[in-house]
Amino acid sequence: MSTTLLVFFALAAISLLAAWRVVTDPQIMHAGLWMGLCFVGVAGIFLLLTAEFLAGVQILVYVGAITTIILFGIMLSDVEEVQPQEPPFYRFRRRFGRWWQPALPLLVAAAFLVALFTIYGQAGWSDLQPVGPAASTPAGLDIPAIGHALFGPYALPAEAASVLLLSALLGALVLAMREETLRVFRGSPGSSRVLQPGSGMAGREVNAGETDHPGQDEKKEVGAGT
Amino acid sequence: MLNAYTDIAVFMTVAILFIMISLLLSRLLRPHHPESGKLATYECGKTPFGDARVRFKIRYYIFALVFLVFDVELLFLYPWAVTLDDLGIVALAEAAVFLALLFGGLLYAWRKKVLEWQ
Amino acid sequence: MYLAATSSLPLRLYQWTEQLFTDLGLPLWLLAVLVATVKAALIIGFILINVIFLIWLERKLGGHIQNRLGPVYTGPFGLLQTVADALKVLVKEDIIPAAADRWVFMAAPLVAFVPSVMIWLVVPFAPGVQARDLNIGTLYVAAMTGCTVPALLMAGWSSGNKWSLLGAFRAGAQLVSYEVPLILATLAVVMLAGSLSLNDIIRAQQESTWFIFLQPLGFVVYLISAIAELNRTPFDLPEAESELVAGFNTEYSGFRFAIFFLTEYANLLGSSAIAATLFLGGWSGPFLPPFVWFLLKTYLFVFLAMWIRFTLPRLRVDQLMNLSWKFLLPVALINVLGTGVFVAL
Repeated sequence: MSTTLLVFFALAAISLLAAWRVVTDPQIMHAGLWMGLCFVGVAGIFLLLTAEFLAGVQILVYVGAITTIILFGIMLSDVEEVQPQEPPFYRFRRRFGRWWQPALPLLVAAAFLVALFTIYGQAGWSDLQPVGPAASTPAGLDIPAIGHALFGPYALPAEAASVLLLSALLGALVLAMREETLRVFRGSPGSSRVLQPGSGMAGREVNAGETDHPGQDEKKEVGAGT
Repeated sequence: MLNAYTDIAVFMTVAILFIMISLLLSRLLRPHHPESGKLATYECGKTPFGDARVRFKIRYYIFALVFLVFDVELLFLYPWAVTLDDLGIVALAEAAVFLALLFGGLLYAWRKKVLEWQ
Repeated sequence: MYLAATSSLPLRLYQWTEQLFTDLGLPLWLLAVLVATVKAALIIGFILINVIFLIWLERKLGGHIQNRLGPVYTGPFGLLQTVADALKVLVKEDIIPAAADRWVFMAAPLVAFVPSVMIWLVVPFAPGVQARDLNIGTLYVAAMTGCTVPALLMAGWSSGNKWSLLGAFRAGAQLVSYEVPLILATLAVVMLAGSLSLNDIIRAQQESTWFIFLQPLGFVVYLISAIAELNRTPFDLPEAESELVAGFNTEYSGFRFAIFFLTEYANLLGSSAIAATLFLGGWSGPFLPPFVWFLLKTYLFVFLAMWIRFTLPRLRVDQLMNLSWKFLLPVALINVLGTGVFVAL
């Protein structure tokens, strides 16, 4: 018991420290790298739970792909623009008199914590017995079991995930095409290709790190109001 | 306890230690005479100008995004590939629909010339 | 016999150590850590010896393909040339440029090297000779391969050099593009074997036949993608000497540069070993001892990669991207579905 617990605390400490540095490191590129380390720690915790498939996926998708995307995003955006000129929590410190500024994130975090514990309580994981040294992967966590579940009873959610992925792909394409239009627009002002008015891309630099577009948000709000 | 995964951690540690020890050994043997010319950024012999961390094309980012989408798709396919033998034709059809959706997206990108490199 | 002789000695050594541990009252997890450390040290030794040989082989082979002699002076046939180079690089000054981001710059070679060693955890050398047969074998290999991209981005960005940054971008885009077909080609093999474990994959090939005969398309996709993942010519755009100086490792010197070099060849060896296991039946074969078969098949891939390197010219960036997204990816997807029909019916 003691060794496992010790390893868990070490991994948790690494993940938490890395996560803390992600939000406090003033150099945004370093923050991205700390996030990679945080993911590695989480993969270690998955291994500790003998969820080896999840650990592999954690490394493959989060460390290999998500970190890459974040690093690409940071490197492709204007560093001066993104880099904070003030120390962390400067605004919090300056306006500490306004109670809701620190209270709001705390409230969100607390709500999230309550929700998580409710879910975990219902999952009945506390009834699980610890796995002995002889047993390898407990049933239900090994890959064939995941396959049977994913393409048996949970086939529909899996297909829905495919649709979700498709929409993500289309999102990436839209980003690419916006850049394309921008390039044509910038390159030759007298070009025959005309930008459609109100498309929200004229004269606006498409920033790689950004995912939210004010134009779309406005549309959404209008749609919600009517 | 946890024999199967101690190996992963130990391999990682030993690899790190190997590099650390070699670097330490090298540190004892190698000269260390830094001077400004030596420490300057290499730009083919010319005086370096501007900040090196310049912005590049966003196109790199697009490819990374498309990669992420396919990477997540692959993680669904891993359990599928292992169990296809048991699950048979139904799972095959499910995966075919799954892949067809994404492949459609790829074809769309292809047609819209997003996959071109300019 | 050879096999019995090699497998009984470590076993006796292990039993002796186990006895020692129980006598001294030491915890058993410490024994596990000790055994794993020995395995890791052995594997790093194996990698080093092979990399020293590989670099010599590459230079010699390249020399003869281009009607030169290659290294000849140090040792017989110039065999010790790499040893001399390694010693030289060990005493070279380690320059960290003033513009570099110090910590990231120093960490990048480490992050690149560690996964290249960790891949060897699951490589089966001979029956029973494998550091650890993980259930997620091929997924583990893919995950470790994927860790290279952040390492290269770290190296390129932290150098504070425009060449390095551009090289890192190219490397990132290239590795990312070729990883998907690479994994898809592996998946087709996994479907035939019904398991992710590399040992099970070898066993499945012993029962039927080498998967290269069942998966010719998958093999071609794997070969092309693996060479691209290794940044070797014709896919060496990230370090194209004629345009980018040396790509992401332009600013690296001394032993830190050597680590990148070592990683590159360790990855070549690792990819070859995995390819031999996935497509050529790993260590299985008649007459010769399994370990010799393993080495032979691995070196077949190494030779193929070197031959391609000295034969083909470098691709353009647009050709590189087209090859991956418009040829390899559709082909690999169709291959997976075709294999699916074959397996499911």
